[in-house]
Amino acid sequence: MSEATAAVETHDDTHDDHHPSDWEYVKIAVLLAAFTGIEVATYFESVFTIFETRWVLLTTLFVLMFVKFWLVARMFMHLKQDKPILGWSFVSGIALATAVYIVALAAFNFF
Amino acid sequence: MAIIDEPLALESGDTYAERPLGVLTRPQAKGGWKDWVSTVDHKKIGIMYGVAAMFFFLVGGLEALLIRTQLAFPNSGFLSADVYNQLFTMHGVTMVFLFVMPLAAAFANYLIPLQIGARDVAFPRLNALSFWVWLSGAIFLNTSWIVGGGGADCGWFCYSPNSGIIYSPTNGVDFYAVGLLIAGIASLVSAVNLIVTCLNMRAPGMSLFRMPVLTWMLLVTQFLLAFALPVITVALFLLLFDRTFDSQFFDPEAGADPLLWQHLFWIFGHPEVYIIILPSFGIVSEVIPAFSRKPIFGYTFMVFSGIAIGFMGWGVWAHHMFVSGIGPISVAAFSLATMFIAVPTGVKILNWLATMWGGKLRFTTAMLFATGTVAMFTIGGLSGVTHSLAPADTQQTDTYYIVAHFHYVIFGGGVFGLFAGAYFWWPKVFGHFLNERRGKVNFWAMFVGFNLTFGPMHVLGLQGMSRRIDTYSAGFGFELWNLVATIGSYILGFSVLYFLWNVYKSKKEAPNLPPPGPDPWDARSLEWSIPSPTPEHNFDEIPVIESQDDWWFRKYNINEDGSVVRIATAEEAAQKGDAEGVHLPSPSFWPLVLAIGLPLIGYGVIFNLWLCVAGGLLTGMAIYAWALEPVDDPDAAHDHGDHDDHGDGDPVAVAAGDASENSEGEA
Amino acid sequence: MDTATATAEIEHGHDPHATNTGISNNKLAMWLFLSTECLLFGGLISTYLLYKTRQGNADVLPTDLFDIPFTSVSSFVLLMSSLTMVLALSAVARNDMERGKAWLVVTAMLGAVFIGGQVYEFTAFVREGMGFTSSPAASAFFTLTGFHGVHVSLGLVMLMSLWVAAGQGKLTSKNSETVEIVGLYWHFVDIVWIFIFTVIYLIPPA
Repeated sequence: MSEATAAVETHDDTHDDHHPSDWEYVKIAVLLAAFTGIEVATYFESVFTIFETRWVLLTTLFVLMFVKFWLVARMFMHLKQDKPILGWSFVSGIALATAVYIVALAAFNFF
Repeated sequence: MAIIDEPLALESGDTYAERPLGVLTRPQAKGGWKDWVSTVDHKKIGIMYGVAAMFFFLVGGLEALLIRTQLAFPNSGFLSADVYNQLFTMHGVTMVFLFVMPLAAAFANYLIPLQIGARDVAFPRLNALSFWVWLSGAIFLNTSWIVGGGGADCGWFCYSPNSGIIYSPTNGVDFYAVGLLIAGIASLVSAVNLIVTCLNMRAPGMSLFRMPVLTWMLLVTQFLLAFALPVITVALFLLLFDRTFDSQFFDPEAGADPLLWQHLFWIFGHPEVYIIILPSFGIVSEVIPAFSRKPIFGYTFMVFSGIAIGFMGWGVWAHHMFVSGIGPISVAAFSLATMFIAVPTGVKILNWLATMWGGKLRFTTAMLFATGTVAMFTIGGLSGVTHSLAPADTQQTDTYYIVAHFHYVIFGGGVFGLFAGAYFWWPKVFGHFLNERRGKVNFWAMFVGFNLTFGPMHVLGLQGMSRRIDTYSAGFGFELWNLVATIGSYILGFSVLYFLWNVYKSKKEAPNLPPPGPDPWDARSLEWSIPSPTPEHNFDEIPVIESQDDWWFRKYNINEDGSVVRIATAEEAAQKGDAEGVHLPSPSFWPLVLAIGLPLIGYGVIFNLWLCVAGGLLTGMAIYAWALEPVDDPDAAHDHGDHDDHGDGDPVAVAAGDASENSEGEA
Repeated sequence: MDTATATAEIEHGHDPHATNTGISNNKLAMWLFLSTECLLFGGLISTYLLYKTRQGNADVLPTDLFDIPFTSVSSFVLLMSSLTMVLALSAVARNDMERGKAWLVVTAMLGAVFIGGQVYEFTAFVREGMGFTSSPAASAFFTLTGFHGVHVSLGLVMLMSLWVAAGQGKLTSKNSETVEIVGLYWHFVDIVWIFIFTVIYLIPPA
């Protein structure tokens, strides 16, 4: 059984090398919280008047949303350390959904 | 769940655990109904899909014959308009969801593991679940006739607001929505299962670009299923919520837009037609090379055109909506996209023809059906191209011209291809041939009947006969071709029954005939390298693949001058099928139990919410029981905390009892 | 490779290197499933976007009733549950079952708080005149957030099942991939909310 155990360990060792440590996870979470804070700040247009301009508001929100998604997907879901096919599989679903539904909304003259 | 259980250490000599958790033990039936009901063997599951699909072919066919009988003469009172609406709706739903798709699934389930050199799919119990869930959805849908106040009557595409409570007051549409939701779960689970199988469980040396074209087409089909089904799931939930809970998704008076249904349905619906046709394209890509004694022409193009079709199929859906008021920009965009999609399909047609060109052709029944597929699909594709021109389609839409088109592609293309597959792989699955003489009668009757039925519909459509009308007046000139079509439909019906007769008779005659052997057609892919019928364990040894058409090259060599020389007979080169101690995934009853919970929930949604609770409890309990049932494997007691289901092809695996292959990964 | 090592590697079912992609079947399956869920949520989100100004016969639209500060807090809670989830996985992977169980419970509790917040929010909306059937906008809003809530709830069930399994000693570092896979689902559900919070809640009417 020692060979099996050795196989486990080798496998686990290489795996653990790239994983963020717990502390790094916490740092990412702090970033996520901060970004959420900025997002919420856009609600208070009277205080942060820059967000009264719609394109500034939308750009800020979409950028922040994308960055938060990126952090969760890359770091928490380990896509950074995993084989690319997993990322591609996820991206293909998102890309297809985005494309198809944007076209559908366009057909409704949504934009 | 097996993935959190340490498998039980069994007493030496035991081959199964003695009821460690009360009722939770793995079934042990060998043969008999219990075997079939608890099986997780992809081959048995494939056969069950095929048998059930053929049953529903008869149901849908009966619905069709009733329709054609009604339309044989003008002003016919044979069926009321209300019943007629139910019949054409249920005919469409049955044929698409309960016949063509599951029959293709039968081939996918049976053949994918064999063609990639695996012992089973990635998640055998989930595979069984897919079948039982689909079957329960299919039965549920048809109980609409008995307890639903009739079948759904909204057309298979079920446009709103016609699908709402006001215009469809019986429960037919509710059964439609819930039934398709249930069946959709089955297909989605199966799609994920088969994708993981293709990506993860190929034999050593079987790179993606050495997989047979059939496996490729089925793989693309699974991706289409996986991504398209959620869209119709949304649509069906919205419809169900409107009808059951009075939500406001499709009520124009509340400010909602019925076009939302159309978009959601067709975003699913167009990929759906590629889901229907790609398996048949794959089958034809196996049959034609076998009976032309040539490899498929342009393998790479065949693979990439299949992928292209899968991809482009997402961009054309609103060609079903040209006259719905989406406006000229949308119409123009979708019209253009639709024209483009003819290109990869054309590539395939040309490649099949090029495969046959210069080949040593042998027109077995399978080959007849395969060439019939190519010819009939070309006709249907050409009428499809005429639809892509939106101005022309404005005249064609909602007429019989469209009915002609889609029957040529779905039946002439899809169903003919599936029959080709049946005749081709029958000896592999069942260990005897389908009789060739009767097969030819079957083919020609079907060919003549099919063309007599649907050919005239092109004319009727262009002459102005509407779709979905229960009768027509005299004096419009529709009489002759409707009568011809009806006669054709009876010939078609006869040909289907004749096929079943051939099945029956061939089985009876089989004991007196020589067995087909592993490779009766001298074909190219891995399933022909093992005995017929396929041994339960598939391969004695997982083969190591060295090229495309690896099996062919174990029988033949190609000399420098291009001549083909035989180096071994099939019998010599094939595996013997006599391996012992190969461990297979253990059977389970829980997929069936889980599947029963879903229609209970369905009846609950329609009739009484308490039934939902009962169904939900049953489903939930089955999930936990499934998760907790023991791994039934004497060798699994060695350090088996996790598991991945894979045949990794190492011959050592057999000697070691294939411990890893017993484990089952599933959600 | 000698027989013994091969046997050992095969018997060690945790060896994803035996699959063609090098990824275990379960993990690949979960990722594929999650990418199909994008189509599901995309459809529900698009339905809402299409209908968000369609008031029908109702007095109010969802955008009239949103309580952004409240929803911000529950969004933050769900976001933090992703952190605790990944900490749970990290603990289980190092065989620290006590911490692993603790973080699993915390994740589930944060998820439950989120659901509680949703329930509170929904009942408030109903009191303020917007029910499921009030208008296309309302139906779309409740369906979208309801589906998300059901997904979170199913995630809670999975988390608690893991916690129970860990308590029974069935969860070890060798099958930590199970925790990882549940974690993938949980993070996805969080990502969907990231999207919903921004697009549905934070973008004010034009």
